[in-house]
Amino acid sequence: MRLGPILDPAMPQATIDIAIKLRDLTVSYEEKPVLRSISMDVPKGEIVGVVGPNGAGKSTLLKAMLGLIHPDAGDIRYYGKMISECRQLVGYVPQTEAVDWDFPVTVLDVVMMGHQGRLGWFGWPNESHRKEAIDALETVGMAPYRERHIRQLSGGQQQRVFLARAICQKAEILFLDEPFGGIDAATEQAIFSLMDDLAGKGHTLLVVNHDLSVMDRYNQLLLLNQRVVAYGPPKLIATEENLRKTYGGRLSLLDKADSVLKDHL
Amino acid sequence: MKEFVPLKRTLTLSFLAAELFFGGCSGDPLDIVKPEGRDGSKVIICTTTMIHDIGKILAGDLHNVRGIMQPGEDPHIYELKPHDTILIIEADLILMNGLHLEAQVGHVIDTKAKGKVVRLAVDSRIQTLGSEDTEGAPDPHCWFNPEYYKVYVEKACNALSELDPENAKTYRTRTDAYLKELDGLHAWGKEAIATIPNERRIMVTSHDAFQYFGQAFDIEVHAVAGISTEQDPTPQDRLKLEALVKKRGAKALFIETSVRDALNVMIRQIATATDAKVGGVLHSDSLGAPGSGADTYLSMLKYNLNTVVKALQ
Amino acid sequence: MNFLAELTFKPELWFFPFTHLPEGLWTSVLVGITCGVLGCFVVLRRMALIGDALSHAILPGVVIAFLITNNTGVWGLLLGALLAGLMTAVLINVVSQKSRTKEDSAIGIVFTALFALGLILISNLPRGTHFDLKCFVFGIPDAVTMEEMQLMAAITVLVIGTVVLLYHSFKLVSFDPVAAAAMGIPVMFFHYLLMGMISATVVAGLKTTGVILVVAMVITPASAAYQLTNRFSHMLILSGFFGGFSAILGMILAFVINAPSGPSMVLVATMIFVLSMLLSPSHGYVFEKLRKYRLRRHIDGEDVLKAIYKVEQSGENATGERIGKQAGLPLDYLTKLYGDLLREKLIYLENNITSLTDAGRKRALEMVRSHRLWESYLVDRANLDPDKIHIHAEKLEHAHELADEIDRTLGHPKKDPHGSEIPNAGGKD
Repeated sequence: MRLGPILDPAMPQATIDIAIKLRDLTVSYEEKPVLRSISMDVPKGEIVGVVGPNGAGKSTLLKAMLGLIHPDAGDIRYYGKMISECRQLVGYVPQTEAVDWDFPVTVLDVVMMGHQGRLGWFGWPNESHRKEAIDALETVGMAPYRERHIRQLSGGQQQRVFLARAICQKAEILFLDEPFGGIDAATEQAIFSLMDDLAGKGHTLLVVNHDLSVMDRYNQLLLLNQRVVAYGPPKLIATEENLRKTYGGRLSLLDKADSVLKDHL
Repeated sequence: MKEFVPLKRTLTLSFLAAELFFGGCSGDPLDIVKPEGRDGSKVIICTTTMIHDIGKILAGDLHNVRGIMQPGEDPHIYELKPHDTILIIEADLILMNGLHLEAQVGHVIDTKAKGKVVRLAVDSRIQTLGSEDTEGAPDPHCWFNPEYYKVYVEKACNALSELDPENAKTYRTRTDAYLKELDGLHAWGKEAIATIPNERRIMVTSHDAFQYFGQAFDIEVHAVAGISTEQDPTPQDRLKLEALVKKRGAKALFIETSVRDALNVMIRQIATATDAKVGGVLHSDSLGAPGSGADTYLSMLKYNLNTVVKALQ
Repeated sequence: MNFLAELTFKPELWFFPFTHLPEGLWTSVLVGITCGVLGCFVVLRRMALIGDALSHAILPGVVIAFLITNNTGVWGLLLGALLAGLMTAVLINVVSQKSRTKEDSAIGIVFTALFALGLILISNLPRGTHFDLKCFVFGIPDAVTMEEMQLMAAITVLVIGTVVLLYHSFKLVSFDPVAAAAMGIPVMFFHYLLMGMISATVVAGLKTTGVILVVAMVITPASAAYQLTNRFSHMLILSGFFGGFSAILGMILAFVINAPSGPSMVLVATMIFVLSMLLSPSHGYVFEKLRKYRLRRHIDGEDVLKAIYKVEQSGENATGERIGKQAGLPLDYLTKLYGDLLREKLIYLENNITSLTDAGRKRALEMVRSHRLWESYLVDRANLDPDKIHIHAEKLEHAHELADEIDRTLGHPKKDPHGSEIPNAGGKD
């Protein structure tokens, strides 16, 4: 199975920067293995869609890649560095459901939070930080809304604000968690344009989806079901067989192994 | 949404305005405490109704003698109100029982009283009894033994004389007269209780307030709850008491006026479970209301004695 | 109950707390402020019962400290209480993370268990010490000493200082703990720091001012502030202010009606909350009503403009009665609307006859255009019967900003379903 994406042979290999490198990443959650030996190379500037059913390990993958849970085995590198060495490089755009929309913060407040990693515990942002935050909002087209309470935003606007936060953070690698839930086609389109823009500027994006609705728009697709089913451009790897392997239920023998081990306890 | 910060400003302004408006009024909070037109009279505060009785007898017409608790209120659990605090702060002399009888009130008196504070039960002449299972927590219900109550009166007399030397003679005269009455009552009480046959001379009450009573009048005393009405008896305590009542054939159990209902209910339950009856209501931590026939110490004690004698004979 | 008889309207009494009970008063204010500030975190993180829980859960800590030190020394018992408070936080965390229990149930399980433990320990103590301990742990504002006030002041300074210094970190950690953790901010540390501050404040608050005040002040002022602001910093300030203010006003109230101080303060805090509910700019009853009323006036004003236009078109003079009849509005209300329109310079009055200014005419035409466009839209796109659409259009026409978009969507129609001409954009006839 290929580790790397299928590259354009015309592009000189030497200039390709690998933004994300996963090697044999194995992660358990509550004693059960959720991810087995995930390996993948993501070059700079790619937009990768991570697709798989519920329970496939997508959120576990995200958590591990954000450095929130410790893997059992394997390696995660961003431009060669481990997450603990380059936390500011990685930005997170949360699921709409996971956000506390009643929290008393404005759009600008949220974007300013992107600075906090660099500012440290006692850090207070100053005027230049504010300016940077507004610039980030300009990039996503939300600057006129900066004094609005976050509850007053529509679905697409909410996604854009959190993207702005990641931009403000100067994150080069962005993780988006189910950004397309509950928004209409036009907004979806707008968000993809934004993502294309960002990719063009050198950001690398990893987008988690639980369904296949927008899979054609990604440069690369990672079909995930506890292990890598396939990784590559959608046209090539989104075959019927691969999709069946991804969505057709879990690997029965591995499941049996889990329950056999449990009986031994 | 526009920020409604003016709200804060409004509140601050209105509070300041109120302050300014009322600042114009001056006045003495003691208006509620000092009597009309008397100069030189002192403010004497008594905590329990029994002590208030002493205060009234010795100095009621000479000074402003006020009581904090009202008849029927329980000193163990009494919760202070602001006007009580004013009384405590403005008092020239505070007469209290002590020995932790006045729980919360005692605490405030300790921290806020500016005048002299006299604990009537704390004296070398009073031999405090512990309760059955206590280390170091004395029973504060000393006033039920007239001998000890005499000490209360003596101490009050001394305190008043110190506060108001001009009237010292008056206090002395009144004290002596009262002490004589107390002696008379003590003797009468002993005789009355003696009319109860020995094997029936046992009384069970809601809480352990009558040990000194038992000591003074020679009668055996037991109780459901301990020396404070705050605690609940444990199941074992109740069973022990029931067994005792059955074994000794106690004829009557007694509920009390100022304690919480739960304790009185337990007395009734024990009565139902055994052959005893509820012999009547006793005054324990408070005198009776004015007109009840038990609104002075003397009348209260007499009432209790009569009730006990009648129920147990 | 002689409640009313005890009501003493003596203004000089209102100053008694300031002159004679300053320790109690100002300590209560400090408790109010500190609990108010910390309460914002409690309320936003849905841990409202943590104050009540801590006030119960510290009991075994106090008893055990007493058993160890064998006396009621202040610092020993306070330390015992504080440790019990922190342990409560840890246990709540453990129970909710490691089992199928939600946070609020975990709080309930842990604090009732600890409280029961405390009660059992107490029942085995010598009877006399029992009420000593209780009096020690649960105070009342009236009995506060200078030392206790200093203790509370120290805690207030520490808490507010910590919240201010770490403000942005606290804000991020409370709003988005996942992102905070991803950025390398130690979320658990901040959680326990917060719980530690809450424990210390609750313990000191209980000792000085009693249970009910502390528990209420952790929830109510913050909830009131929450209704009134969209900014976290404002919420913190407002909440602290409400807490402190409730203490002052509450104590005055207590002296006026001769009720216990603590509960009176809680009553005031609650009244502030009710007021904030009513006056909330976004959700409050008062502003809702105001908004609805203003909208009605605006719409009716536009109807009046239309009415004037129609009457003028028919060649007659726009007198009050005619306009009133045309627009279907009573005369006294009409006068008010005239006031609005005059102020907006959309009409002018001459000899009892109303006329449209240029701006007014433009607006009226916009309305007409909008109405006819909406009618076209309703027939064309919504397939409604042309005979039935007038009522809908009457309402929709006020959304006249959309007129251009409808025009575009329908491909610039010239006539409406009834054959009337649709005015051009720009309000020309």
